[in-house]
Amino acid sequence: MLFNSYSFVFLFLPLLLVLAWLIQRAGRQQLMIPLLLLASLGFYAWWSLPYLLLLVGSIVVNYGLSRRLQDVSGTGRGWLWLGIAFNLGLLGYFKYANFFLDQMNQGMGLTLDNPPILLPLAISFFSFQQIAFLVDCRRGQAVRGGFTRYALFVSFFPQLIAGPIVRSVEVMPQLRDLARTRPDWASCLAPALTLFVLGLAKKVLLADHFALYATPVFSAADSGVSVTSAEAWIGALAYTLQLYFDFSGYSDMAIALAWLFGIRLPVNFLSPYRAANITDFWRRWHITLSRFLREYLYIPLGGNRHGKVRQLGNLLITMLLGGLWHGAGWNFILWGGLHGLFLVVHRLWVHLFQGSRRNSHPGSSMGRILAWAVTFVAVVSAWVLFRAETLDGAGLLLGAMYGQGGFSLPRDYLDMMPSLAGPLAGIGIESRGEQVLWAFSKVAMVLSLGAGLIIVLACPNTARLFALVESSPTDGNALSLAWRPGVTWYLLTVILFAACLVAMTRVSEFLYFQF
Amino acid sequence: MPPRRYTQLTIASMVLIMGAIMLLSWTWVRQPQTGDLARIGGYVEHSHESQASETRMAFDAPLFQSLDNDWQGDVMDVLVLGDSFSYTGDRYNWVSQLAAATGLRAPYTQRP
Repeated sequence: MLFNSYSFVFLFLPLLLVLAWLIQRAGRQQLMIPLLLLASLGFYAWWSLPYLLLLVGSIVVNYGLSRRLQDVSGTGRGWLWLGIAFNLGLLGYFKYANFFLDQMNQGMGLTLDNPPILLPLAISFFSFQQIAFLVDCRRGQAVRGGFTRYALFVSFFPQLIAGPIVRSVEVMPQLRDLARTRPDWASCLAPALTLFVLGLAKKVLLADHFALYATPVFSAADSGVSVTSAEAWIGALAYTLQLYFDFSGYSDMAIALAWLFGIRLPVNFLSPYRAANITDFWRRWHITLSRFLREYLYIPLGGNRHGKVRQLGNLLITMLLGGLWHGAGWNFILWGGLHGLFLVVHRLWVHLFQGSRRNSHPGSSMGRILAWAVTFVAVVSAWVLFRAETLDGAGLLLGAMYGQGGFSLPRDYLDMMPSLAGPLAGIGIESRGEQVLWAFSKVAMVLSLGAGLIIVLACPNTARLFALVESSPTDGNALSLAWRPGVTWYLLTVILFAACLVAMTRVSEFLYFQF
Repeated sequence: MPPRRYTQLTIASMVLIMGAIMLLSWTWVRQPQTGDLARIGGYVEHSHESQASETRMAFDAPLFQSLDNDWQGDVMDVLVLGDSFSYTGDRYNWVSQLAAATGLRAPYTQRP
């Protein structure tokens, strides 16, 4: 079931809220955990009943292993490795077996049987979450509970499918409180509903709109159709916006849905496209995955504790595996490797030119703008690898973006500004008819991409608007616009809600569902 | 606005909007969404009221010709321009039904 489907908005969520309300009204607070667990399992079973058994089996095995780790505290290294092997084994079989067998067949000329394996929904997320739990148990940092509470911690429907990837210390105490005391519904219902609507609007009204421009460009490139440099940039930029609005919209909805029941989940996005360096980008993009990779991979690999060369190697390995986590394909591995390379270059830059002042921004305004522009262009370019379905398609698009076949602007644009044609031709930018995007209104395309960029670069993010993170001295604009019960936010909520319901006639999946 | 009042107003408005959408949808699905026009809207016929197989006239061969390749006649009664539902491979399409029902000669072309 998708958050942006009628079955969820019209049936699942209202029914669950009414049942929760009835339970609380009857003073049977202890039933909240079983109710949410059943709802979460039903939510998963809506997609696939047989794979629900896989999810439940994974929960049972990991819970048993965590008990063993508890029983043999201090000596449970073997149980921990068994747990990690179990989770990675499941992930390896369902997600990577086809890919590796394909590579072996192609690379070594083998003919191994390789029947397609259906990827279980959310397996990457619930596997990582449970690995983190086992490691935390071993470190003595986990917050434990009974089986029901643990099962809900893993399968809680708002975060089950695409995160945020939560740690037990964040959620288990809240689940314990939920079973004992009534959440303050008066204070959480209204902002949570508004946040849910904003997330839905990001997905339905913005992400799906930018997909209209991105999809044909990437489809054409994957089919071997050459595109102009302007189309390649428009496609890459549109996908950059689509992915952000899609995934951050999903995360907003997940946080809001948990909030409806009094559970606070960690934020996943903090205006990542405003980052002025690549390290800062990864502190703002998919924050809970970055945290997982840092704490459960980069630091165990040695982090920065064994010299600069080892640190850079650890960074590269972490990002390569982070890329592989996103999908079984060379595109994702290269995307991760490219980001690893970006991080290495940034670390070297900091080391060489800024001494020990890590990640500090260049001093002047021009320097900051330049740093932001370099970071943004690097991120946009890397998304091409992430989105393209074939390496050839990615190569074709990147080639067009960076001048292979010459730089060009669509003829329609230059027809609107004929005086610019001469000067642009002088610097090698020619006028060409479009190959793919010819059917779209040029004005609408430029305006919508511009509006999307203004939203991601200049508007306060939802974490600031809803005070989900601590405010900072630079939050003046966000604080003045922050959510508060009033006519403006009421009108915005109901108008966006109505617009989303009308626009939801065609349900489209969230991009991160495939991971 | 007091938070409690805001919450009540927001929930009531959302329920009202959902009710209105359901009412409109119900009125809408009462209309049969079948055939080629449903395809234009991107709607799946099976999702709507009529889930029975659509009754369509089938012909052994199309009762019209493509003007681009194989038009033999010199008189045409109806010219169909650029209609993708009329391509000659489909023996069910509406141009054949038109020709069968009226006896009109109706070639089509997809030339610009």
